This record gives sequence, C-alpha cells and structure tokens, in this order.
Amino acid sequence: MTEHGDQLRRAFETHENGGPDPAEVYARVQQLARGYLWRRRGAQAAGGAVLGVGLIAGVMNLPALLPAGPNDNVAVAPALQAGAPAAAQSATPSASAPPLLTKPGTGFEDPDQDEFDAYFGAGYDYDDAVKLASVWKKPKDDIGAVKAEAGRRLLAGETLPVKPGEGAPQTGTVPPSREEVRVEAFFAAGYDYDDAVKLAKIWKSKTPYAAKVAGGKKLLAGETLPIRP
Amino acid sequence: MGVTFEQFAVARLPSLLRYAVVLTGDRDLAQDVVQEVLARAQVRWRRIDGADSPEAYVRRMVLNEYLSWRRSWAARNVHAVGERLVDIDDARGGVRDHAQDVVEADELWNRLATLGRKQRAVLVLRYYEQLDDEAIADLIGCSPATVRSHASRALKSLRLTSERATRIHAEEMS
Repeated sequence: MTEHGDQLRRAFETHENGGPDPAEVYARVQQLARGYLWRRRGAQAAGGAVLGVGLIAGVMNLPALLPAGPNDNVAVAPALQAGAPAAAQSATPSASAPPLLTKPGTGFEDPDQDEFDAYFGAGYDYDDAVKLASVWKKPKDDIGAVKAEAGRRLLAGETLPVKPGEGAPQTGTVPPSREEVRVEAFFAAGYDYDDAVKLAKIWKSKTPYAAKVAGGKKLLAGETLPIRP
Repeated sequence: MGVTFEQFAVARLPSLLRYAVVLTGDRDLAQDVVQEVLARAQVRWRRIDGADSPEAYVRRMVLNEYLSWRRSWAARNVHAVGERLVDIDDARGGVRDHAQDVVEADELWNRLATLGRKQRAVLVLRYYEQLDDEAIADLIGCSPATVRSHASRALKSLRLTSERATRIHAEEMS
C-alpha cells in the first residue's frame, strides 16, 4: 500500500472503535422497526403488503448469539450478551403473543417508549424531528428528546406544526445528471444491485452500473426489462 | 442463508458500527445511519437474507444511507471537527513523543472531516475496505474514472490542508 494509503488506514483504524454502544443501537433499531411495521400495518389496512407474523414477532426477541465473524476483532457487546438468556427462553416466538405492543423485556426499554411509539406510529421520522427542532428552537444534537416531546404532544391529542414527511429535505439544489436520473429510475422501479448484475450478464454490459444506467434509460422510455424486479 | 435478522445483527452490528464511524467520521451520525439501515433491513430481511452476501448487502445500504444523508450534515460535521480538535490538543499536551503516530492519525482523521462525502467514501472504500476502483464505482454509482477523480481530489485536498497547516504552524513558531 502507498504511504498515504498506510496513513489513511491508520487514521481509520485508530478511530473505528469510537462508535456507540451496540446494545443502545440495537434497542433503537427495534424502536424504528416498530414504527416501520406500524406504517406497514396502515398500508396493509389499505390493501398493502402483508408482513409475516413470524418476522414481526422476531423483532422483539434477541436470539442466541452467533460468534463474531472472522474479520471481527471486537467482541459482541456485553450488554447484548446480557439479553441472551431471556431470548433463549423464547427462541420460538409465540404467534399468539402481541408482538408489536409488548416490550422486549431485555433491559432495553426506553422511558419515552410510548412517546416514541406515538411519534413513529403517526408516520413521523428523523427528518421531521429535525424540522420540529427548528420550529421549536430546540438543539438538534438531541433529536431523541424532540421525538419524545413530539410523541408526548401527539399522545395529548395535539397537532404538530410539521406534517409527517414534511421534514424531507428539498431536492434539486444540484440538478441530477442524466446518468443519475436513469439510475434513480432503475431503483425506483424496484430493481436492485443483484438485478443489475443479472442484466449486465444478459446485455453483456461492462459493469452492473452500466446495466443500471441502461435499464433506467429503457424504463424511462417506457420499455420493459428482460427480468422483473 | 437461513440466518435470522437478530442473529445477523448481534454478530455483525459491531463491525457495521465501525464501518459507519469510519465512513461518517461522526459517532452520532454513524449511530443514526446504522439504526435507519438496520430498521429497514429488519422489515425486509427475507429478501436480504436471500442475497449472495447479506452482510455486503447491508454494508451497501449503510454506504447509500451515508451518501444520501441530508440531515443537518454541516452542523454535525462542524461539531465533530471541533470535538476532534480538542482531542488533538489534549494529545499534544500529554504524550506526544510517545504517540506521534496516534497524533498524526488524529490530525488526518480531522482533515478527513473536511472532505465531501463521496470523496471520503472513496477513500474509506479504497483504503479501509480495500476495494478496487471498479467495485467502488459500482457501489457509489459512478464510473471508475470518477472514482479515481474523487480519490485524487481527496488526497490532494488532504495534502494541501496539511501543507497549509504546517506553514501556518511554522509562521506562528517564528
């Protein structure tokens, strides 16, 4: 590796472990996923997709641990391990249990859980919280507190000054290139990287990226692709 | 195949967090990015688990989330730089002679925070993930030539910053 390559690698590796506690992150993932699932429920009620009960139930349980991967030089967080016994007892979640509304019981419960549930359940997300922070003149370095406050107001029956999804940033400050538009159309149609790999083989494209561009171009022209998303 | 989301998360979350920290250069942003990605991955896990490499798939999601992250980026970035500068000052006041490498790594880490996201991502993918330019191009969604351009500009920017900082430091000492 080049000298600057070594320097960069050293810079990355000396800072890579400065991240947050995995247990804390996992707890938040569960909260966020619950919000997504609630939104899916809404979609389901409106004729949208149905999510498997087993998958939903699995959200709430921390299963038996896998050993870290061969490239992992950091052990799994002790806090995560602490949840293992409880999870082991419920390795096969009961489909009859109310998976979305019960708390996991792994020590991850948040004191603002009900507020978060109300916030995400109403369709709000991180962008909206940032916008709310601006409206309420609250610091943006503690967005969790903004979400909790918003959830509290929702539970109190109040209307928030920002609508769900309104916080999404404005696009178009830099016009996308023609290639970007085509790639965007490719993904917007539901295709992904694996599809691009298949299309690259069919079309003998140099790279999957070239297939994404070509596929997007065809889609924008109203054509269909040889494979489905 | 056949790994549940929970098993995947428990096994790979530390690695994903390290990747996100290196990509973003910011602890809180890394947490936000990984949380968003894993929450989405959780609800579509069956499809992801069916991919050739679920981990590669999720790492790509992390990269895409970082590159498309438009939320108070500048504020977070400036804040992070400020924090790092304090850290560096502390290091210099202490064991500089015995930790020159660490101090230099801190300084470089700090300068990395001044790069654009794609430039930084290219450096991370090239030197941390050790991917070739073709693979990076595909991940980022550009041509290999553009990858090389991003890398070149990023390296140049880091060097220029370094030279300028050195010059300023020398002037202050004289």
